[in-house]
Order: sequence, then C-alpha cells, then structure tokens
Amino acid sequence: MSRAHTFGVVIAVFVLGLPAYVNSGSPPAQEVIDRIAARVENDIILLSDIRALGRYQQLVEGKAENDQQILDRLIDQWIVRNEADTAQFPHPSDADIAAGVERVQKSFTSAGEFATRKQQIGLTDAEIKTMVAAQLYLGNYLDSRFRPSAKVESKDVQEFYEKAVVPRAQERGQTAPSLDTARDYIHEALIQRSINEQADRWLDESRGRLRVEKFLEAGPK
Amino acid sequence: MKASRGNGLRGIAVLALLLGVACASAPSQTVAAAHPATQADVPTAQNSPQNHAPTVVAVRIVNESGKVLPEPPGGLPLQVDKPLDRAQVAETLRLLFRTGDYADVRAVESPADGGVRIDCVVREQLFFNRVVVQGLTSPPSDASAVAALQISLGQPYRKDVVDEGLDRLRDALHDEGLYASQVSAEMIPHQDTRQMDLIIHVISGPRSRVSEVRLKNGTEYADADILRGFRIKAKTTITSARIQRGTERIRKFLVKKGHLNARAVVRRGEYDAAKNTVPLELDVTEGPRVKFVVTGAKFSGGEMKRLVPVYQEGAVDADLLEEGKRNIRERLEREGYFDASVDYTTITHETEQKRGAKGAEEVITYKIERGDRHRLIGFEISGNRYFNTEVLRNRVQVVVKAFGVRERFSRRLVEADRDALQNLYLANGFQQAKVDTQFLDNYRGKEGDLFVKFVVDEGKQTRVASLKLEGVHTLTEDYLLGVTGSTAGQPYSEFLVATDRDNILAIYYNEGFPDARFTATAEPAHAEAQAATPENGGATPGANAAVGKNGKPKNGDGSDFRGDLVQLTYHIDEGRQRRVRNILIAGYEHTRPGVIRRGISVKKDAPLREGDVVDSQRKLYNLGIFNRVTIEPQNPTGTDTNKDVVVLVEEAKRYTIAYGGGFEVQRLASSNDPTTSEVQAAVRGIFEISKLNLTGRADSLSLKLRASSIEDRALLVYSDPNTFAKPQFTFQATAYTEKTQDINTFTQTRYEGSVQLTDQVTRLTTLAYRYTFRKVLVSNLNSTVSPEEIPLFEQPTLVSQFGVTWARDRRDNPADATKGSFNSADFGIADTGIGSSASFLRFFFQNSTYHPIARKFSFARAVRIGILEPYRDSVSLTFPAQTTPVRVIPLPERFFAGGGTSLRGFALNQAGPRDSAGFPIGGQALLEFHQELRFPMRLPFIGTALGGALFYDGGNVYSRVSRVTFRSSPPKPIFDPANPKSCLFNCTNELNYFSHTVGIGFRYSTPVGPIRIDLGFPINRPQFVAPICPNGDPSCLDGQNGFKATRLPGFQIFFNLGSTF
Repeated sequence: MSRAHTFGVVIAVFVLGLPAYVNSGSPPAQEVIDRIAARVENDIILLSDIRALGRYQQLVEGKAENDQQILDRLIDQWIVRNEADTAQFPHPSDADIAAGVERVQKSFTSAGEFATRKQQIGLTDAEIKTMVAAQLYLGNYLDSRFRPSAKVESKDVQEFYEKAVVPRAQERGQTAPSLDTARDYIHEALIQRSINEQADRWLDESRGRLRVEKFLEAGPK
Repeated sequence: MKASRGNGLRGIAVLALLLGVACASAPSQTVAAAHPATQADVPTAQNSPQNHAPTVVAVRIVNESGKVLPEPPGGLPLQVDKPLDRAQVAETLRLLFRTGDYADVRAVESPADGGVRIDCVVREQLFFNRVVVQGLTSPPSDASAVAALQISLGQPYRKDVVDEGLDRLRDALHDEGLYASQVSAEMIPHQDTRQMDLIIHVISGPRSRVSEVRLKNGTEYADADILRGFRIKAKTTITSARIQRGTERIRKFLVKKGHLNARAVVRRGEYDAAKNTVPLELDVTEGPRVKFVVTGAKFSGGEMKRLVPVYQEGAVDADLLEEGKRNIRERLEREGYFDASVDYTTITHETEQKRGAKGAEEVITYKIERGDRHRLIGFEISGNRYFNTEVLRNRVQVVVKAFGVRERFSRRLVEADRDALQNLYLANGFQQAKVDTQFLDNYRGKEGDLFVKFVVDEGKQTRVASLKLEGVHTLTEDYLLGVTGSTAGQPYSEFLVATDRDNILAIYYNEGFPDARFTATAEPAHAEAQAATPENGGATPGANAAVGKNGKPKNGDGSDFRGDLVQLTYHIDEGRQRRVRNILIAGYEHTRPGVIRRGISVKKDAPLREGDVVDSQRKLYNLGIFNRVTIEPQNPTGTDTNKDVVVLVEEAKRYTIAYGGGFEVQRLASSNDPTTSEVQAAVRGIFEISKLNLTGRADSLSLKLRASSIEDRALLVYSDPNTFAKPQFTFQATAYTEKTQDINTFTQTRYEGSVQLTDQVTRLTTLAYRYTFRKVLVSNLNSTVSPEEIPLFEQPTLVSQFGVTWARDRRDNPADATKGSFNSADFGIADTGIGSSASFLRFFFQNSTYHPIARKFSFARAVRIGILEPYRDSVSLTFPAQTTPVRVIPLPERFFAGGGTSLRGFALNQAGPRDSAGFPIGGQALLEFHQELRFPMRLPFIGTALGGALFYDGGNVYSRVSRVTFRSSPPKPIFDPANPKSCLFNCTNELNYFSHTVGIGFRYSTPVGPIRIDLGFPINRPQFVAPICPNGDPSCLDGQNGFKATRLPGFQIFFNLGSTF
C-alpha cells in the first residue's frame, strides 16, 4: 500500500467516521408531543385535540378528515360549548353517556370487533366516553336552542313524502311506506334539517365575530 | 311511541356539523370495513398511551432561550415518576396557557435516564402598556384616537388586536375627514417588565372637503332653506361634529315648525383620492306636523313642552304620550285636582303643503277633566305596632302645606309612599305585611278637604334562628359577621340577605377575591332553635321597634309579633386571592418616580385590594399634575393569581396661562364724609401663569396679576404639596404686593413675603406654621387725619411675624354648611427684635356651628374673638392719639370689622374706633357674634333654589381688650351749648360699645356657595364727632368749620358670594 493510498484510507476513515463521532456526542433527540393548534379568544385548541377527534372519526366513520377540517370542527365545538356553558346548560347524565357509548359499541358487529378497532386506532374507553359526552352536550344544546323555532307544517311532511320518499322507493322497486307510518320520521327529519340550517347560519355568524389564530400548517397531516 | 321515535333522531344532524361523524348510533360495521384504518392515518395500538408509556422523570417549564421558569402555585397536572399520559400533557399545556403568562406553549419530550423529560417550552406573553398617538391633527383628539383603538392597559399583546385597533382608528379618522391619513404602529417591547408600548404614528394629511351636497328633500320647505340650515356646502372641510351640527340644525328647524318626527341623515359617498373630496347625500324627511290641543284645562305652550316630553326627545310615540299623560295628571293632582282624569287621542289627516304636495298633520288632543279641587289637610298612619309612627312618617313623601313649605301630593306619591312603607316592613321580616291607603274626601264635612290614611297590617315577623357561614377560609367569620345583619334573633328578609351579600362580597372583592361568590339558603328552624334564640325566641328589636317592659319585643297593643324562625346559611365560594407581584409605573416624563410611588397605596406581595387601587388613584389625582391615572392588573383574565399592577399616568400640561377682564364695583365708605359711602367702579384685568410640576415633585410656581384703579395685586406662589415626602405636609412660599383702597382713611401699598408649612394632622384638623414679613406704606392719608398723627401713619410699617394656626373643620360643606362645626385659632408674634416696627402679640379665634332643623331649615352661629397686645417697646392706642412718637401697632395690622362677612350693620371696615375726623382706624380687640336662621323659600320660576335668612350680628372692634364692653352705646359727645360746633366732652370717637344688627338675607345656591344679598339694620347707632364740612369741599375736613355729632347710616346692603361664616 502506497503512502498516498494509506493517507487516502485514513482520510476516508476520518471523514466517514466523523458523523458517527459527532452523533455519539449530540444530545438525545427531542420530539414535540403536543402544542397549540389554534387560539380561540382566550382559549386554545391543542394538536392532541385534533388527533383525538380524528381517531374518533376513524372509529365511527372509518376515515378521518384532514387536520384543517378537524380544527374547523373543533372551533365550531368551542363556539357551541362556550354558549352552552354561559347558559349553564345541563350536562348529560352518566346514564345518557353510557347509553351513547353503548350505541357506538353496538354499531360494530361484535364487542371483539369494537375492541380490536379501538386498539388499532389507539382510542381508550375514557376518550370514547369523553367524545360521547361532548356529542350529547353540544347536540342537546343546539337542539334545545333551535328546535323551538324549527316549524314543520303537515304540508311540508306530505310534500317531502311525495317528492322524496315515494320516488326513492320506486327507484329501488320497493313499496313506499304509508304516509301515516312515515309521518313522525319525516317530521323529525325535517326538524333536524331546520336545526342544522339554523345552527350552520349561527355558527357562520359566530365565526366572523371570533378572534381565532391558527398555528396549524396548511394541508393534510 | 311516536314521540320516542322522534326523540331517537334528536341531535343526529348537528353531530355531523360538529364532529364530522354522521351518526353515532348508525351501524358502522360496514363503514369500518369499507374504510380500513391505515397505519399512516392514526396512531396504532403501539402508540397508545396505555402501552409502553415511558416514565416521566422530570417536568420543566422553560422559555425559548432555555431558562427554567417557576411552576404555577398549584403545580402541574403532569406528574413525575408516573407513565407519560398524553391527556395530562394536554391538560398541563392548557393550564399553562390559562395562566395568561404565556403566548405559546408546546410540550417537548426528551429521553432521559430512566424515562423521558417533558419540557413545556413557553413564549412569554407581553402586555399592552402605554399607547401614544403621534402626529395627529385634531379632531379627533389624541384621547379620542387612543379610545378608538380599544386597547386596554394590561391586556395581553396580540398583533391582531393592534391590527383591529388600527382599522378602528382609520374609521375614526375617516369620520373626521382624514381620508388621506396614514397610520402605522410601532411596538416597543420591554422584556424585563413584559410590557409592550404602542406608538401610533399618524400622518394626518389634508382634511377632505365636500365635493357636493346632494339633497333629498322630503319636506315642504325649499331646498335653499334646508341647505341654509345645514351650513355645509362644496369645499367645506369635513368633520363629524360639523356634520352632526348641520343635521341637528335642520332637525331643530323642522321640530320648531311642528315636525317632531323630522329626520336629517347624512350618507357619505365614495372618496375621491385624486381630489381629496367626498360627496355628501343629505336625506331630510319631515314626518307629519304635530299639533297639540288641550281641552278641559289651560297650559302655556312652554309648560306643555315640559309636561309632554316629545319636544325634548324629538319624537312622537305612544310611550312619550303616555308619559305626558302621567305628567299632566300629576301636575293637576299637585294643584289639588286629585280626581283629574287625562286621556289623549291622535288623529292624522292630510294637509296641503307649501309646495303644493300633500302632507300630513297629526293632532294630539289631551282631554282633561279636572274634577273638584281638594286640599290635603293631613295624613295618618294606623295599625303600626313594630315601628313607631315617627319612623314611618319620615318615609312618607307626601307633604301637608305649612309655612314656607308647599304641599306635595299626588296619587303617584301616595302610591309610592304606600310601597315604601310596605317595603320597610318586608325588609324587616314581615313577609305578609300590607299597607292600604284610604282617601277621605270632604273630610269632617268640609268640602274639598282631603285626608289620607295609611292602614298597616303588619302580620308576623320572620326571624333568623341561626346563621351559619360556609366556605370561609381566608377571612375570619368574626370579620364577616361584623358586616352581617341577619344574625340570630334578627328579622329575616330577602332584602337583608341581599344587603349582607353585598357587604360580604364587597369585603371579598376588596381583599383581592374578584371571583368570590355568595349564595344563601333559608330553612324553617326546628323547635329547639326557637328556644335557643335570644330572649327565648324574641327578636332583638330594631332601634325603632317597640319594646315591652320586660325587654321582650312587644307590639303597641301588647301582642307578640314574633312569627316563624329560619335557619340561615351563607355559602361562600372565595375563589382565589389575587396578590400583587410587582408594581410597574409608566407614562411619566417630568415627574419623579418616587412622587408617584408614594401615592400608590397598593403594596407588593399584598392582596390586590380594590380600595387600595381607588385610594391610589385619588392620591395621584390630588397631586394635580396628572390628567389621567389608570391602574390595572397586568394579565387580567389569566388564572395566574400573582399580578403585576401597572400604574400608568398621563401628565397634564405644565404651563397654564389664564387671562381675563372684568368690571369691579366696590361700595366703600366715603373719603370725605365719615357717615356716607360711595360706590367706586373700575375695569379689572387679570393675568395668571403657572408652571405645574416645577421640579418633578408635584410642586408648582404661579404668578397672578390683577390690576384695577381700586386694587392692584401681584402674587408669586411656590407650592409643594408633598413636603418631606409626606402627603400631609404642604409647603408654600409667597411673595406678594398689593395696593388697595378698601380702607378709606388711607391707601396702602403692601409688600409681603411669607413661608408656611401646613400639616394636615387628621382629616379634620390642620396646623399651619408660618413666617411673614410685611412692609406697608401708607399714602393718600385722608386730610381728616389730624396733622399730628400724619407722621405716625406715614412711617413705613414693617411686620416680621411668626405665627401658628390651628383649624378643625367638621362642616358638611365648607362652601355652604348646614351641619357640623368649624373652629380655628391663630397666634402670632411680631417683634422689633426681628425687624418689626412694633412688638405685639396677635390672637384670633373663631368658632362656628351649624344645626340642621327639619325641612331644610338650619341655624348657624359663630363667634370671633381677636386680641392684639403690644409689649416691650410698643404701647396701646390712646384716644385722643398721642402726639409724641411712640410705637403703636401699625394701622394695617389692627382689627377692622363691618361688611358682608362681618358685622352687617356697618359698611366695609367701618365699625369700631374712629379718629378725630370720624374715620375708622381699627382697634386692638375684636368681638363678633353671629346668629342666622336659614329657611327654604319657594318662588315662581325660581323654585326652591332661593333661600332666606334672618340674622343677628353683635359685637364691635374695640380700642383695646380692656375696653371690651357689652354696653349698648358709648357716651354721647356733648357740645358746648354756647357754641354748638364745639365738642366739650366725649369727643374722642373711641366708640367702645356693643353693636346690635338685625337683618334679612336671600341666598341663591350655586356650586361654589350661595350668592347672598343681606340687608342689615343696625339697632344702636352711636353718635360720634365729625368735622362740619359743606358738601363737595374736601379741603375743610380738618374741622375749621367746627364739629358736629353724627351717626352711621341706618341700613346696609351687601352682595356677596359665599357664606357669611
């Protein structure tokens, strides 16, 4: 081995070994495990909140929205929760929450399936309970707030029956249920639609008045 | 069943809205199969916090530069030596953010020996401090511009808050026509105090002008009339005030024409940047012409405008017309038409307008039926047992006509009185109490006489069996019970509980518990509690309650009013106490920070007390050098209970210049006739310049000049209100020169310098220590002064005097007292050894007391005693005056009396001894007594603003203290019967006697004291000797024509501002 070759090997070893040496002396890796995703008035929404709702969506819907969409929903939730808290709206009882959790569980083929999905997704029972409790609290508040002004006339029910239910049954080759049988369902569905529309309008207005700062990078997570 | 089906659907729709979950109850096994989770999308079971969570070995709060910060007082949810729980991490971040101390937080996990270390990396929050606007051309003023920003002291700094504030400021500038203005913000952070100063730079640019006024005239009046009222035309510069004045003028013009619903609105058009102009669209509508018709009674137009408030409000609506109806009825009832009924109708019909168009007229007719006139001759309260009648009568507003008091009576007043009596009972635990009213018309057969009866049905009194306080941790129960009225044995009522709540919460708020909450529960007491109450069940009677002989509460008829007992519990949620971490001072430029610090009652590490904040503001404002003092806690909404308190001051302008002029009239005694007076008038000029905060110690220097032909004065004053850094001390140095003619024997020119230290010993008591050096030159000596005396008087008078004054002021209103007392004593010593031209002691004492009597009557009295005593090389005055040179107390230092604030039987300074020519020369002793009965008056147009007074003044100025006498008249001068112009005996004019004056006065109340007119009638006018002098011949006053006996005028009139004593 020539001196030049030996020198080259030494240099190569030194150069190649340097990163390893540097690495061996560097501080251990740090990881941001949670942070503020948005500031809403004097409150915050954390990245972990987004992840938690995402997991819940994954459990119930099989897929989750992207972070920006989930953040927008959390901001809407904040608006409703803030109003409900101000109005001292009653929180759901433990029994209601338990019934809600049971409904989620029953939506799966078996308890085993439910447990497997939970574990796969990384949701704990406590997190599911928290989500269900929030669902009930916020849903009940919006319902109580907007239901009184959701008016559905008999003719609306009939019109919906004639224009939506009957044609759809015919498309599927089924016999449409009688109007009397379907009346209550249609009535409630129309009320829900009205509540939804009112809540949507109200949230739109509220968002405009709100001081929100988002710190989440744009695009999907 | 149907309902339950419906309910089952409830809330489903909104869930999609909020959670992105279509329906929690919908079966989703198929969904789950269709959308299998991917490892990339969600955390796996391996990521789950329950599995393989590392142990937390350390938790720190660090700022972005790595400095470790202290934990909040309550600690953090994230715990050491436990597995890492993401929920706790989130809770920790939330907690840190809610403290308000941090603008951003994130949790960073680092591997560490035995587990992980969690660092909560924070960015510290800054808070708004000083907000200054620079470069603005008013209007808007700087203060308005700062207000438009809506940024509060101590509020957390956020960029978007500044941006929003700038947008609002731009709008405010546009309103004022500054469309071309440019606004920018400069932020100056102070990391050490976590404050952010905000400097707003404004380039105002030229104010925009009106390009044109487009009138939309919806009235019957010509465009020119409307535009004339608007007074804004093309090229007029735009300000909001100008536009508002313009529209208001148009509206008033139309209201005056009877269009009470008239409206004038300005809409601004598109701004033309090239021309810097804005078009204005003026939209004017007149509405119907309103006409009032009154039937059944007569009211003047002005009175109708007062009674029916449509003119004041500039609108016609049912509420205002109803209010007018009530006012008219009450007005008639007050005149005795107690049965009056009032109603109104409105009819609108079309009319022809001036310009041919159709208009409308609204005729509002008030139909009045007055009925018979009544006279309230009395009222009676019956059925009361717990409260005595006098207590209840004091609650009644109805007034029966009496001397100097006008009747106050209407249905509304009687109803209000009934409610007041009933509320008094309810507040004292008589929950079933009822008060009824009865009107006895044609009382005792006399037509029109009306008698009102208030009939009380008390019922039983509910009382407190026991009071329990719950949730009191920081303060002591004894402390709170000190402000609690609803203790065992006391009456129970919601009113009293509400009072207790207010008192208790006020204590908590003042002790730094802004979140303190109070709830009260009352439950019926058991039988044992009944037995345990004071006096075996007896309520501790109120001060006004009737008490039986055995000390137990009894009704007037001997029956027991005790009813149910309740157990009362006050639940208190104290919340967390705010404490002061630091006190930050800002905004000063010339003031020494120590001066501000001394004025701050808020103490570091102490609770943040609201009372201390208010007291600090009061003390700082009292320095007189600040326009605004704002004291706010930094981070007001954060949960961190340790607050930095910011004291932001805005210094006032340091230089004040005032000038003015006026016309001065004084009624002086005549210079050539000792018995008459003459009015002297002069134009007066005033100039004042002051420099506040001269050396930054809240001290001031001011020069005041006043000039007229009667009086010239120059005054230079240095004042330091915080001498020795003690707020109770005030030092004042004065240099003063004055030339005055208010004593008609001579004209005096006075040069004076004095220093005084005032010690406000207590709120009521003041001590003042002073040294005065005074030089008085006498000139223009009246020719009546005997020639021998002239050299004495013309010598310059030097007074070098030390003095001390004590004053104790307990008056309710020093400008016009009705209650309390005022005492003062002054002692001075002047000595030839320290430069005085005579050696003498001076003592002056005043005592005034004020006694209210029922219904605005009051009695006031005062006594003044003054003694001058020469000593060593100085001698007392002699009559006749000594002709050899002796040291006597100089003329200007002697006591004088007479005038509007002294003895009102004499013109200004005309009481007491006189010289041989009959002119007053003052004395060495003063004695004054004043008594005044002040009473209300009610006159047309003036109402009750005018009051009256009957007064008596007694006393005089005496030649020396040993000559003080209560004799009503001095010895009469006796003239030679053979030569009536020659006085033989008692010719010295020493005039030692006690004068008596009675009089009547009128008082018109003003905020700075009453304007007074006093008419004084001296009862015992003595005779004295004066030279005989033909009218208009001043040269004869030396007595060359002989002497005569004369008297002072028998009537005096005074106009004054301020009270007599």
